[in-house]
Amino acid sequence: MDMTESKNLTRAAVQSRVVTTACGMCYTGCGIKVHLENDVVVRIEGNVDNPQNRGKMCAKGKAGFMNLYNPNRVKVPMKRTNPNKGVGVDPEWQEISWQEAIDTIVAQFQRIQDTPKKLWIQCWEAMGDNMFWMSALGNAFGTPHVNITGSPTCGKAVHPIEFLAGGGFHQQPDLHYANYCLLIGTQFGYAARGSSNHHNLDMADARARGMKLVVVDPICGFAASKANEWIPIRPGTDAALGLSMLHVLLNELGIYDAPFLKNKTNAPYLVGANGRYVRDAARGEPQVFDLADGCVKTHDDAGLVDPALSGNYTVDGQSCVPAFDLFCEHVRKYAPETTEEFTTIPAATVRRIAREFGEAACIGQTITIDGVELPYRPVVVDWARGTQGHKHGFHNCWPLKLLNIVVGSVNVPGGILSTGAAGRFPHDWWPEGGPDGMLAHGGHIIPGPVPSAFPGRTPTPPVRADIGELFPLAPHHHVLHPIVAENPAKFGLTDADKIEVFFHVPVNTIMSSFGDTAKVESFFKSLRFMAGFAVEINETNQFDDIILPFPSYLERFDFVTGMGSYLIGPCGQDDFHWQVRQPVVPLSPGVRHPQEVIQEIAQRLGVLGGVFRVINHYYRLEGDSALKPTQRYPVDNIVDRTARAWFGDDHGLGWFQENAQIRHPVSPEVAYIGPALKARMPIYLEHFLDRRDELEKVLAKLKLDDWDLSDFVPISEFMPCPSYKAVQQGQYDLIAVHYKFPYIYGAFGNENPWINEICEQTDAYSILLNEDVGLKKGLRNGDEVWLESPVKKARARVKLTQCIHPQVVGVGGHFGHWAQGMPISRGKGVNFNSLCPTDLEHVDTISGSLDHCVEVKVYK
Amino acid sequence: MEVSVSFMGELPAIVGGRSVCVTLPPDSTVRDLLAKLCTSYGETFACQIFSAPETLRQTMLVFVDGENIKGRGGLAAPLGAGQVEVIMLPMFGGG
Repeated sequence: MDMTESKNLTRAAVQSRVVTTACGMCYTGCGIKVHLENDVVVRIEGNVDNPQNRGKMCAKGKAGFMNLYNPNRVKVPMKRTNPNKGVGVDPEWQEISWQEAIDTIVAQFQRIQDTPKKLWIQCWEAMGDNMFWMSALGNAFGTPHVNITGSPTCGKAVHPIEFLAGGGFHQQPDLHYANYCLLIGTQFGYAARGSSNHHNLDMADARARGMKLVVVDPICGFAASKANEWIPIRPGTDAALGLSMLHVLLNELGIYDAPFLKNKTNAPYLVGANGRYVRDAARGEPQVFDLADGCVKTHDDAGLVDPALSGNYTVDGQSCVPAFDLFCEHVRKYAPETTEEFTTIPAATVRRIAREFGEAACIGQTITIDGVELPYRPVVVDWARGTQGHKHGFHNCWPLKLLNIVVGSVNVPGGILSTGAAGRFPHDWWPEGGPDGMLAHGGHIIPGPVPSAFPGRTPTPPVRADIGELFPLAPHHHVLHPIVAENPAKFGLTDADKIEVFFHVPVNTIMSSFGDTAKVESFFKSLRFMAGFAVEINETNQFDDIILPFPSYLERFDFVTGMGSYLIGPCGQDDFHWQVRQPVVPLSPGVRHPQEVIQEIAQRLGVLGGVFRVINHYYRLEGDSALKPTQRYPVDNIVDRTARAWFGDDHGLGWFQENAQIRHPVSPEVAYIGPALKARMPIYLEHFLDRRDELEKVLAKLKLDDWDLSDFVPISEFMPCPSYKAVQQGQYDLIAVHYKFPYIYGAFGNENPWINEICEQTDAYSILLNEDVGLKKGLRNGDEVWLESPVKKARARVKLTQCIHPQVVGVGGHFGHWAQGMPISRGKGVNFNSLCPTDLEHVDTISGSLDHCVEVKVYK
Repeated sequence: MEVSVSFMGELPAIVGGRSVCVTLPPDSTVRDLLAKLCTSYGETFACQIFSAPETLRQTMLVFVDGENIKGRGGLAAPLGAGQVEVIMLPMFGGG
């Protein structure tokens, strides 16, 4: 047999096939085609028919199957045999059976069954259905400590603000029509955010047709380096910039969308000297002054014609002015010359970009799309994690949102759009108004509660171990856990209120959900029992008593394949789509589908009916489709019945396995919901005063005299972060911030050899320091240095660059691993979160966000 | 009438248990039941249930005999066979 014949025989023996499914390397869920040879995955490509990514993929998605074949994957349940826990302590794992693993977990749950609040459950695994199942388990068990979030900063301000002032989960620039885009603390369209593969193309198209892009960021990263202009800013001073731009627009240039403010916001609501709305006696509704007939009317009066935005009025003997007047007067003190010393942005630059923004807004113009005439506001300010992660995170972001509001560029072509806010297929969902005519109920295809900052909750003495009751406007509060655990009595809690059992998804909580790792380590060691799912043994798993293997996304069934299909999908008129996730390879022996594991645990605890009640609600399963507590269901059955319930009997799992995704056109009215919204958005946060007054009473009962109430104000003030003050006082000379890489962002990438190779080739593991600053310190590119914050001293390699603010150190990615199961990434880079102090002085009392700019020193 | 109420989510931590039996006059409604529970468990409980008078918080789900009260007249829903589930869903997060 010659060599040619041998090769042909080899080729003939190879059986190739392609499976269409959804990526699971981050929470977006791009459509992918997975190529296999002899049942081994050899290549992944983007699915061109999927509107989410239109055939494009990121490096992490392409590298995803390396995780499937990771030799260090956990594939059997394990228990620790070393009772001692801590960083660097070997748990001395021992393989066990599923029965022993679940017996142990159930026994620990049963131990606290009469006091279910002792359970803390971490659900943030947003790639599929498991997040909802974990949530349902915690809910049915009866604990308030159910975490549907992972980060200490991400989403803490943007979701409450977007539901308050847009109606959807997140915000997204309308790249189809925008002509001027200002990105602040985000790399949207280049390196981050959900649906990024989609946005990257739209951003390229927008730039090609002439959209101007200005990026304000301490670091000239992937977005800023491609922008028309990079404006470096000192971290945590975004509110100062926003308030200055508002002053220039409103008081210097007189640029604002008066009809929009009158009819779609609370700008005309009359406000008395006490800061409260002037309400009518009969119904208690806020009132406005109608310029058309000189009468005072309620905001919802059918005869209201032209509500006043300015003027002094007397109503029932009370002097009052429209909220807009108060607002304009308030921002007057933020002239660019005043804020320059904080932001380091020259006053002339602030004036210029404010003017460019205002002039590009095209106020008064309309555009007709598919026969529908809509307001046309082709300017947009977008911001995300960089502006949220601060001591005063909510108010650091809110003025930026207001820039869009004052020019009317909200949920209209060219402006800022709300993601996932509304739809007519396959269900009907839409944001709704609430008290005072304000936008109160966000739209959400999954009918769960959404975290709007309006109207908030009434504070009460805490029963939660994270004292969430004292954060009445925050979406979630898990970052408080280790802080409260140090001294529960301070907050009126006792040792009996402490968390004892922690059950979690594969999210690496100790590295990514808090700051100061030493404090989290102490908290974890205080827990009596920890169990969780694991892909590989990460740092959080190192503290577990029981580990359960978690399937690769290439082995899973999911009806929800990520947040890209229902929460953060592409905005505008891109098709609505839905896909399901199907296994590409069989489940590894010894691994089980987590939904089936949760059903078994729930059944043994006697709460399976409760779990199904919540799942049926979330997934809109009714009648014959509903899960019944008399049995447990295989995961493919659940996906199939849900698909049929949503899309009809002819669109079950089999249809999706064959056809990949269903698409549905989006009408202009659904794409641009602004004109049709029957609710107002705020420029004045009157309810913050109510929550403050209520909170003051609770704090007095608890004798918490030192609680900071400065953020409970109806109009934002700029308040510097602790790091700014520390640098002013000379204790430290630099401020460290975190930044994102497109190939690390979002989830399971750290232990992937291909991603590691990219990181090494691009010097991603180094910290960034301004070249001039570094040279003055006697540092050279590549030097090993100490990076020291108030709570952590880490060894790092420094990269000197001109592309960073001179007072800033950039720490990228999610590095600094030390876990046993991560030999590729272990010992590389710095974990940014571990640098951040975790105490009440660094938590935003409105959003619950942890301050993510931290004072540091860099030295050899 | 005897009504069996089970609590889920944040509520067991507030009321100190997973379930309770409540005696109400015949023909009582969900509104009557919740009013009685608010009296029994105080302001902390009431604040979690209602965002305003007659308005359930968006986090709240109430089922009577396995059926969401939204389809049975809301707070005016009759208590049927007296099996009531009061569920407080966790806030959806992100990030």
